[in-house]
Formats: sequence, C-alpha cells, structure tokens
Amino acid sequence: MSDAATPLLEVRDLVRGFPIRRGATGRKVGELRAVDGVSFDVGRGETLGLVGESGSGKTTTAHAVLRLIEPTAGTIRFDGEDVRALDRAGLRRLRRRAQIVFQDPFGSLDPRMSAGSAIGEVLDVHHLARGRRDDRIHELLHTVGLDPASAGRYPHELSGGQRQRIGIARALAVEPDLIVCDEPVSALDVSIQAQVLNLLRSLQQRFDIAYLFIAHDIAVVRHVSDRIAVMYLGRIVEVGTADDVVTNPLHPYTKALLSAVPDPRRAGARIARPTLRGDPPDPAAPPPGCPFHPRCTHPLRDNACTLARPPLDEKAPAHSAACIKEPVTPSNGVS
Amino acid sequence: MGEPLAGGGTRPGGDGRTIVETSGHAIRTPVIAASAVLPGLGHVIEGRRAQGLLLMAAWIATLAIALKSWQRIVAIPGTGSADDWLAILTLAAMLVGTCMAGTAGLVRGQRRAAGSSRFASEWRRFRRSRTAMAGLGVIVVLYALMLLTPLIAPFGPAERVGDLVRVRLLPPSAAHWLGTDRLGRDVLSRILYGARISLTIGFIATAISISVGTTLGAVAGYAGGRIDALLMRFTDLVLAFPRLILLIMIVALFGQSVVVIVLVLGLTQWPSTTRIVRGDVLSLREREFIQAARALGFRPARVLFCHIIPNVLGPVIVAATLGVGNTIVLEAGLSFLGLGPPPPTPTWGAMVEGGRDIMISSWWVATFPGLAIVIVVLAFNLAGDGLRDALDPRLR
Amino acid sequence: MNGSIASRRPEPRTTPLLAVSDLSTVFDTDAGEVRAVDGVSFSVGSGETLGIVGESGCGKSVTSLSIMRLVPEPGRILDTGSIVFRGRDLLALAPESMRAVRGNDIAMIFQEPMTSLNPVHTVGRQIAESIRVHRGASRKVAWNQAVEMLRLVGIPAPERRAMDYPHQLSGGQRQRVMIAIALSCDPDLLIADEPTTALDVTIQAQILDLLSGLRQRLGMAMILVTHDLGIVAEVCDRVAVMYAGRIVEEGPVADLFDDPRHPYTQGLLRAIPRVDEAAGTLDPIPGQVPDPAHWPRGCRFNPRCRHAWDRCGRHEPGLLDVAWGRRSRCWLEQEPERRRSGYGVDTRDAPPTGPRIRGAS
Repeated sequence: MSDAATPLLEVRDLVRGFPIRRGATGRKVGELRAVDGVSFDVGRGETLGLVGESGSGKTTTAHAVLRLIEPTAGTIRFDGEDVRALDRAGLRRLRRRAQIVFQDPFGSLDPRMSAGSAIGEVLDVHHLARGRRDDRIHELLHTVGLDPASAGRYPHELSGGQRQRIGIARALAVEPDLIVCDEPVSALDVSIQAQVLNLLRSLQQRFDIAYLFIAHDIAVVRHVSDRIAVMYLGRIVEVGTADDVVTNPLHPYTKALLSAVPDPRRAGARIARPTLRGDPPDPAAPPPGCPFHPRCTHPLRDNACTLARPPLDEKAPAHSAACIKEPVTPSNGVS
Repeated sequence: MGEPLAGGGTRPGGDGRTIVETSGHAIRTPVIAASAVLPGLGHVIEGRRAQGLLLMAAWIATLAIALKSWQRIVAIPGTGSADDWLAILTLAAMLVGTCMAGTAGLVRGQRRAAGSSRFASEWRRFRRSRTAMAGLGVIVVLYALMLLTPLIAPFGPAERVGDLVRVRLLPPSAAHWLGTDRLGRDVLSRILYGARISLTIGFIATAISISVGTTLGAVAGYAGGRIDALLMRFTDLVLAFPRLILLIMIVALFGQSVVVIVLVLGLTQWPSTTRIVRGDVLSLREREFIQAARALGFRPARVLFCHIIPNVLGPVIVAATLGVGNTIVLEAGLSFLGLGPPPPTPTWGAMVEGGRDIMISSWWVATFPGLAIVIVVLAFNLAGDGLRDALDPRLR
Repeated sequence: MNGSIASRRPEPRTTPLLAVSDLSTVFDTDAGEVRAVDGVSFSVGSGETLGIVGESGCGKSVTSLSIMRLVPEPGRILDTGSIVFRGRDLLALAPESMRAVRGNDIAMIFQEPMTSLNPVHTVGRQIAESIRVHRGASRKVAWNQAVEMLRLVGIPAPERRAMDYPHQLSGGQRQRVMIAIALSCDPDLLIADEPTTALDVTIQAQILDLLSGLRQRLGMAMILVTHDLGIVAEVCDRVAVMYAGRIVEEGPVADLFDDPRHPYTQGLLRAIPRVDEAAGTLDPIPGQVPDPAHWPRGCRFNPRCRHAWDRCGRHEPGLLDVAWGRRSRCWLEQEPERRRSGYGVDTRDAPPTGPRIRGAS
C-alpha cells in the first residue's frame, strides 16, 4: 500500500515510437517518436494540464499512460503499482481507478445505444451497483447536471454539451481516482465549454479526483490546472505551477504560445507580437539538438542549441524549462 | 393538441393525435366498430386515404381467398400436411393483422415520439420512398402468397389437369389464368409452387452468406495483423473461383438437390459481404466510442458483438436484399441449364427452359415464369435501394 | 494604441461594397421549415473587415454560403431579401452570371483545407485552374501567376511547392494555398468561413497575420465568420454577433468589446477563459442554443437571459440603436433600468484573485 505522499500517477521517461518501414519486406528504417522521454507526476486530487499543439504527443501520452496504446519504453506507476507489468485482470482493475473522457462528444458514444444504456453497460461490465442499477444511472445523470429523463435519449437527440456530460458520467460510474481528460471541451461551443469546465471542477472538489487535462488551448488549461506542462515534439519543454508558467514563461515556445492566443481585450489594436515562423518540424526527422531551435526567437540562440538536447532543468522553484539559454533564477525572488 | 387538417388527420409536426383519439365516444365507437368489419374505413375517414385503401384491399383479398378456398380449408384438419397448416395459419394471421391494423392503428395514431432510436428514424426514412415501399410491399405479398399456396393454387404443381392431348399447351383462359404447359400442367399453380423454391433458396443462401461474411469481415477488420491478412487472402481465393463453374462441378458431384444448391450458393456469395464489413469495421475501430469501450474495460468480444457489428449492419442488410435478387437469378440460371432441382420440381428457371423452344407458338409457358423472376428481383432491388438511401449517413 | 494598423473610425457614408438586406434562408426538413437565417441585414464597405461571430447553430455559416448562393439542398434563400454587390442583386442573377461572380469578384475560403483541396491535383494546378476559368489565361501564364500567388501567401520556394500535392503540405500551408486560390483572381471581397479553426494556435496567428497583411496590400474587403471572439477582436473593423438566426449586436470592434451591450455578447465574453486570469469558476451562459425548428417566442435569447422580464417573452426587439454605428437587439436599450445589478457590469477587469487555494489532500 502506498502512503498519502506518493503521487497518484508517476511517469518516468515515457517513450512511444512508431517504426518507419520501407520496402516489400517492411524493414525498419527509422523511428517516429511521438512521445520522446516524458516524465511527470500527478498528485491525488490535483490537476496537471498538458498543453501543446498537434504533433506534440500530448494525446499519445494520455493514451499510453492508461495503456490504451502500449508504451515502447519508460515506467508508469499508478498508486505505486507498475502499470506496464499488469496482466489482463490487472488492467481491468486499473480501468476502475483510472478513466478517460474523449474529445469528440458525438464519436465517443455508440450511436445505437441510449444514454441510460451506455451508462448502465459500464455498471454491468464491472458488476457495480447490483440491484440498484437504475437508481445509480439516475444518480450519475443528476451528478453531471442532466435531467434523469435523458436516460432514454439517443446521442443524435442530444446536444454536444449533453453528450460530453454522458461521457463524463460513464467515466464517473466506476468511481475513479484519476480521469484523463483528452481535449474534453475543444469540440464544444464557448458557452458550453464553460459549463463543462465548471462541472469538471465541481466533480473534482466533490470526489477528490485527479485530472490529467490535455488541451491545445492554454487559456482553458490555465483555468482548470494546478500545474501545467508544455509539450513540443514529444517532449516536455516547460513545467511549473499554472500561475508561474503563464505569468512568467521561461521557454521560448511557451512565450510564443501565449502571445499567439487572440485576446478579446486587445480589440482594435494589433500589438506586434513574436509570431513563430515556419511549420512544426517532421516528427520522423527532428532537428538535431533542441527540437525547437529552427523556430526559436530567443535573443541568445546560437550554435550551442544544435548540439545536444536540452535537459528539463529547474530554473526557479518548482518551475523547469528545457532551454540552455534560460538562466537559473535564484530562489526567494530577486529576478 | 394537433390541429385537424381540412381533410382530416393531423398536422405534421403536431403531437400526432388522430381525430378518433381526440373526439368523444359518440364518434369513436362507431368508427372503430366499422373498421373492425371493414378495416381501412376508419383510415379513409381520417384522410389517410392511401393507407385506408391498402388496408381495404388487403382485407377484401384475404376474405376472397378464404371464401374461395373454403373447401380446402375444411378438408385440412383431417388430411392436412404441415404445409397446409402453415397456409391456414398465414391466412388467419392476415385476417387478424389487417383487422388490428384497421382498428388499433386508428387509436394509436402516428406518434413521432415513439421510437427515437436510430432504427425508428431509419424506418421513417425508408417509408418515405415510394419505390422502396412498393418493393417491400411486393416482397410481403410474395411471401404471403408463398405461404398460402396450398389454399390458393388451383392445381397441384405436377398435376396434369386432364387428358394430355386435350389440355396441353392451352392458352390463358378463365379456367387456366396463365395457360398450361406442354405436359398439361397449370402454369399459374406451378409458378406459385415455384415461388417457394426460388424465394426459399434465395433467402437461405443469402442468410448463410451474410452470416459467414459478416463474422469473417468483422473478425478480420477488428483483429488486424496476421489474422486479417490470412482471412483476406482466403476471401480473395474464394472470390477468384469462377462461381458458375464451381456450382456446376459441385452439383455434378453431389447431386441436384435443393440443399446442395442452397449451400453452394450461400458459401460462394460471402466474399463481397466480407469486404464491405471489413472496410466498415476498420473505420469504426478508430471511432472514439470504440476506444471508449476499451477504456472502460470491455472485453474484445463484447466490443465486437455489441458495439461494432450492430453499427455495420446497415450496408450488410442492403447487400443482403440485393443479394437475394442476385441469388434468385443465379438459381434460375442453374435450373435453366438443367442443373437445378430435378423435374418435376417447378423452379422458375426450369419452367423458362421448358418453354424456350415454343416461344412463338405458346409464349405463355416461358413468359410468365420469366416475368415472375423479373418482378421478384426488381422488388428486392427497389427495396434494397430504398434501404440504402434510408441508411445513408449523409442524410442524417 | 501602439501598433494599430488599420483605422478603426467609422466609415464615411459611401455606397457599401456589399449590402445584405433582410436575408432569410430556410431548410425544408421533416420537422418543418427551419429558418437558419432569419432576416439578417448588414453591409461591408470597400476594404473593410466585418466579423460575423456566433456559436454553432446561429446561422453564420449559412449566411456566408447564402451570399455565395452555395446553400446546399434542402436549403433555399427566400426572395424576400436582397444581396446587393456593387449595385447588382446577387439573388436575382442567372446561374452563369453568379458563377462569374464566384471566385472572381467574391472568393471564399473554408475551414478544412484538406477536404477543400482536390487531393489528386497539384496545388499549382488548382490555383491556376481558377485563373484559367475566370481570366481565360493560357496554361503557362496561369501557372506563373499561380507561383506568384504562392509567393504572395508566404510559401517558401514556390516554384517547387507548386508541384506538390495537398497531402504533402502541412495544415498551415494548405490553408495558405486556399487563400492563394481565393485571391488568384483579385476579388473585391473575401469570405473566410472559420479559416483557422482547424489549425494550431501558432499557425493560426501566422494565417491571421497573413490575411491582415494581404487585405492591406490588396485593398480587399473581408467577411470573417468565426466562433472565436479573440480573432474577431484582433482582425476585424466591425463585428456582428449572431444568435439563433439573427444579428443581436453589431458595431465597431473596439467599442463592442470594451462595452458590450447585448446580454448574449456579455455572456460570451464572461464565459471565455482568459490566460491572464487566475483559475476560478467560469461564468457560463445557462441553458443551450435553442432548436432551430422551434425558436422561442419573443426575444430568442430570453430563456437564457438574466435580465429577462415579461416583455422579452412576448415581443422580439428589433435592432435598436445604441450609439452611432452600434445596435443591439435588446429591450434593455429602451428600458435600461431593468438591467439587473451586478450582472450587467463586466467584472472581468477586476484584479485577479490569486492562485486557487488547494485544501490539504
């Protein structure tokens, strides 16, 4: 048994590679590392936000952590237990403690099952709420803010926000300790996004659930996370508390990400901002050294950046960045 | 409350309640009672003319059949075979069913809310296509005729209706609606009995082929990797066989029985279904609700049978309806070549062959069976097209 | 403010390039007639950028498709409205004349560049095709112009890139190609329907910069349809907020975002999480967008509005003037005392409340 101080989820040096094959024999000529050595912790009842654009590997990381796809290397410990070593039965036990909510509310529900049946199926498969199945279904619907009458409705009769709530209800049905939220609000309208984010937040406070929150919108991530990790090309390039990362970004990519977000309060004014040049690099052939250097606008960028992959170093208390040009600030404030 | 239209009925989009439901007992009871005697009357009063007339026609036809074959019906309890009992049951079912449709259908109305499942909305879309409903109607009538044959066929399938010299090759007349053939047998009766063979073969062979095809395709698509490769290569192998030649060989080896033909037809038709299903499963496999099912800890078997297969059945059913038509034609071809069930079994293909050389002089012998084939296959194709449109995801 | 590129003052009274008047587009579904766009009117002046913003189901995309007369079956534009472009009513044009307008005078770019580009033709050929169709240029001339367009939209090594197929390009590059096709015939008006929604935010910034720059250089007018208020704020001169098939508020961008008047606009702005704000509970708009087959009685927003009173449920307000060039479809403009206290004021400019305190686990 683990004690309360151990993080709920510990990931160390996670790698997920896809072999690149050529020729009729399909021999392996290279590897595409969607996730290239990622390490982080998620504490009980805490939210870690994983933010990055397409190709950053955030979704692959989220799926690998739950072994929805198999990691190629690295360790994953859930509540002290080695996830990669679990057999089928162990994996099913894990599914009761760690769940996932997907991005596409329409795609994540079987179009031929009603909302109530979809939730009920989860209860049945895991032998939960025996004898009070219907009550439990109504209870779950109520918890996610839906009218219990929606149990009989089909996905095509529900709105995007309502479908997403059903997805959340299914994840909640097993009473998990951790929910991986894979872009849960990206496909929703703005006003509904806010409703669902509030719901996730209140569920966390009520049931003490930890979230691994994946998103590409840093403003959304900022709102729900305690800590934020920024990913680029399969690696974490910055990690720290949400406030620190957003108000004092250390990595050039994080700075570019923040300045690229259009802001309604900047109406009528086009503040010149450092727009990233070029396109994200091909993950099959990452640039040598720091993967960000071809697009980097750091004033001190030079040849040293092409030599070696920068390590994720702590630059300030509980705030790390993978950039050799960012200085380490002394602790206790004088910057 | 739906507002009544000028011609009766309800306004579409209203709550679907009918005049009968919304009026008092003074009107309701007589109308319902009248509809019990003449189903369809109530519908016509309501303004649902098409449905009403259809019901009336069905009712009258059923009564006519019952009256006309009264003697046979009475004779059955003593000497009847299973076939005959089936015919009586069918007739009874038709009577009861029409009556109920005529009365209960009035009261229940057309509630749109009933059935908001995918199936219900697909059925509604299917209903909207006239040709599809016509096709379905013909199929229903065909199967009803097939079941009622012992009661309605004027003569037996192998029965010579009189002196050979005098009754052979009689043109269509009041006594023999479709004439007689060269052995003096009533063509109409033979077509009715032949329907059983053709429709049964078509149905069972197709059922076999879609069962095999769906299972193999789903397993191949879901499992992927080596299993997929193995199964698909096997499918390609079966596809590569020239079907007709295979049929001929097998029939030559194992004899010309209905069972052999059904098996061979069924076991050579599945590859196209397999391909369709595999393609659908491959794309479905990546859909998030399948990932979600895995994330929730469901076993692969459950994911496959409870989630994947129900969602690929659409195209399979369409392929099945078209496949039935195809199989019937194929079977007719086999019979035409003399490889079908042996005489005197009245398969349509054999009947066409039997009248081939006398087409000029006695056209009715080959023409009517040929027409029957065309009508049946057309009906299945129309219904299949309607199904495909109803299930088309684009129109959702 | 520093860095302001385009003038934000209201346009002087000249004839607008495009004047949409009482546009209504309906769809014939089995649930009856659905009015996706219901009496929408707006205008765009030469060289001006209008943003049409709203959530899904508000009718903004159908509006832009209606201008191009590309509304798919079973939709049709009612003849009660008019779309006057450079003096001609587009709704009255014969199909060939409308075809001549499309791509030539008014061009459109869409959200998904991958599906908007033909995967079996090179990008160069697709750009050249538009030029050949509308200008009758020869193949060689059209190809050279296509290469120039690629250069204009910022694609490096355009001569080589023109021979690539869409799948060989990245999402951002494909969207640039779409813009190149759209601009190839030098249109007066560009309609961009969610042009950056499918792109990463850093690429989105590049594309928005590109569009602004091109607009400036070519003097082109633009209608930008999007759900993202931030984009509208940064790129557009004027904005129209749509809800339930109608425009509910419009005005110059700076004014509207500084001081939103319509409760829906206010609600949207409050519901958006902002990077510079501390984590906290967001303020969503309760309820959801109404079913287009059954718009609510009276003001269509009233079921979700904090300020609603009985008048709102009985009569739908027209677009009432707020100030010069600003209008809002809300009875509060006539009865401002009805505004509930504490909600009407945008509290988002208050200083952040600090990091969220976590209880001991």
